[in-house]
Amino acid sequence: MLFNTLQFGVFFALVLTLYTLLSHRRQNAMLLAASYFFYACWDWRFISLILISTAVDFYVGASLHRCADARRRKFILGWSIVFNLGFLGFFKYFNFFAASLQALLHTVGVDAHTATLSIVLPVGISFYTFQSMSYTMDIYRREIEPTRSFRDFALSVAFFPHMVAGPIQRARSLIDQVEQPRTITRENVAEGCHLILWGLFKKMVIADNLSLAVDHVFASSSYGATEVFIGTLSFALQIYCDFSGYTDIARGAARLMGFNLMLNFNLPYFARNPQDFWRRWHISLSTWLRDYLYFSLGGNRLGELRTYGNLLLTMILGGLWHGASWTFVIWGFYHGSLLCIHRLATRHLPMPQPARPLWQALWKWACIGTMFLFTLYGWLIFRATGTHQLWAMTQAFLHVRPTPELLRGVVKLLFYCWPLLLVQICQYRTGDLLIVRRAPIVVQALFYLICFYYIIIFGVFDAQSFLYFQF
Amino acid sequence: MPNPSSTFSFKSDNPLAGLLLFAASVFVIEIALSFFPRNALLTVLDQFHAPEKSPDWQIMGDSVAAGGIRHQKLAAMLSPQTTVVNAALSASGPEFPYFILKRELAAGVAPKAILYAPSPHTFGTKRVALLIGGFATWPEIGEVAASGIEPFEVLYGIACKLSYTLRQRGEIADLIKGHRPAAPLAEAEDAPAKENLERTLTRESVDSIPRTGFTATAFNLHFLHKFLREAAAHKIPVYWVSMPTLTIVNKVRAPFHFEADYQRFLTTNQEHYGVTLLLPHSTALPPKNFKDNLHLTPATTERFTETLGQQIQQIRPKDRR
Repeated sequence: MLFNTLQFGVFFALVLTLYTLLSHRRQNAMLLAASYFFYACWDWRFISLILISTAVDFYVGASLHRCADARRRKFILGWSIVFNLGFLGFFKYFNFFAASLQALLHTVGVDAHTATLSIVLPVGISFYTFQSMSYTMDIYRREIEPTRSFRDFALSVAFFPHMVAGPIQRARSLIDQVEQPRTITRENVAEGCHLILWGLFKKMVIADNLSLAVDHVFASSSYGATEVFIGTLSFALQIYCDFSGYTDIARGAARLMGFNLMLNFNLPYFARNPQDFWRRWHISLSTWLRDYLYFSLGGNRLGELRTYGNLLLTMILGGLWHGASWTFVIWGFYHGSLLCIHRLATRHLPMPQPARPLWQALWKWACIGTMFLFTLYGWLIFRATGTHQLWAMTQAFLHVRPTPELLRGVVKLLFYCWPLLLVQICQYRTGDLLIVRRAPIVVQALFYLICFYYIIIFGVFDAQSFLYFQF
Repeated sequence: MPNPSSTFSFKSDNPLAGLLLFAASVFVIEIALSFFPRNALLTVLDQFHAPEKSPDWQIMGDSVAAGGIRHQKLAAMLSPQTTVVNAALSASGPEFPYFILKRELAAGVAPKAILYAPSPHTFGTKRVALLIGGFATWPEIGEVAASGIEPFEVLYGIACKLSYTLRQRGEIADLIKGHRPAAPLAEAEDAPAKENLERTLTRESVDSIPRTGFTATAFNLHFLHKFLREAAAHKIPVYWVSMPTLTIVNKVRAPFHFEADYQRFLTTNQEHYGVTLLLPHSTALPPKNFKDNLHLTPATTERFTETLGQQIQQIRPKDRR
């Protein structure tokens, strides 16, 4: 059941109606049942995976809290991590590692036949596993106390708006909201509807329309420079609008029920440098990786060289989190390298500090433009179907020149994207992501009308799955 | 301080004010648009009116039958007093005849016999939204909803019926993008034959022919059976006619036993509802007989009508009612 379908609309309307009629305790029970039903619509068999993962982390959390012995606590946590990553690894990476091992042995002259299994990837496994893991790790660090209610913990893991593609909530933040009675205010309703409409616009109008152009370019066997550039630019917009559109709908749906899910995207294509980009893109994952992986590896406390190593390792594992493919590993390494180079440059090179406002503005936009180009190339790595295509497309990408054909391609993209561009420039200039909500009501209504009629007229109605569901 | 001379104030403390104004604007826009002309396809559906008196023969089916059987020629072949009407509707499918027959029965102008000539591929495709949004009346929509089949398509159809923009979204998008809308098939029926259609059929259009056996959706079957039951209950004989198909279409479908599955389907209808299989096997014809990959040229229409007329003449008068 995808967010951009009538099925979800009916499901959510029913849930919301019941929600408003029930007491707090019953609301939670109903939401848990609805969440499992929502997940079962993909494949009911995988309900057992969520239940096992939830049960293990719930009891590990309770054991960690009770246990005072440091070594024993470490053992319990280690066991929980091995269990969760084992689950994830089996379903997501088994075939990848088996095939890679076979290829490696083949290069040294050994023809081994490793077993590959036809494993179906459970939707959202990376998201709910990380969500669930953060609970035990926070208890281990004594940052939070475990919840006493299994039902509330299960709901925090399986809460349907965020279960399949995040945002990956911090355990305490969502558990607190589950445990406390929530109120539906007019502000919540207005913001929820705003987010849902904006999310649907991003997904159905921009992402799904651009996906046709992207698929065409990346399925081709010959690569012209302009074609590759427009294809990559389209993919950059597609993946952003697809994922942030999903997140907006998820946050909007949660908001209508009085929940507050964390922000996942903060104008990422306005980032001025790699560090800034990762503070704006998939914030819930990048902060998770920072807090639970980078810091656990030692962060920047163990010397300069180790810091760079930690950055690279964190980003490579972040890349691999997206899926079992070498292009994701290369993408992670690429972003890790950008972070290292940026860190090195800011520490050892003098950075221009223009004094006059005009030069400041020019410098700022030059940084944004440069970072966008680097990000764009990153998306080429991410979307490439293999290393051979990546190499061929990189050569084409590096030879792109401003031609009338390129301009025509960009204008075609603008047909779908101009509302996004306009809104984001306003958001960036004011630093207010809810600028539309604070505009005069006539402007608000006009904005909603444009989004609504764009969806009705140009939206792709044969529901396309969200890209991040496969991760 | 608010300006006391101002009638309207666009400042509001109500966080929902923008959304409410938006909803009100959508309502006003849709009401205003409902006075605009409907598109060509829906106009064809709108043009269906029950005949003034019961015809002796009524042709039913989709655009292939609408353009591929000449009712005047058929009438002339049978006898000067015989009335034949072509009630086949472009873009329709097997779910439509039930509602057409019901309307005719209600108006007391039901045909004495039906020539039913559906395109086999239409049994496997969905037109629920078109049926509801462009054809059915509210009581008919109630009947469709009560069937419990395809509830979400029914909901979407209702949205299409209520919203001009949703109903006409394809045409509006084409208009904004500057694309020329395709001519409706009824208007294009005199288009010249494409002698080299086989060559002009792009790989894409050949690829788009479904590589499956014959399939029928539950929705289409439900309303087909209702149509056949209704006809049987009112003692209206139904004669099933298979329209000619393009050779390449048959060739593509052959490995998937499409024709064999379809014949089994026809036999079931014959056994359960007393349908007479007048022309059960579709003739495969070369491209010069087609305007596109489905619709017959005027010359082939003449020839096919003649064949059909001869088949009808062979039916014994008592079977013909």
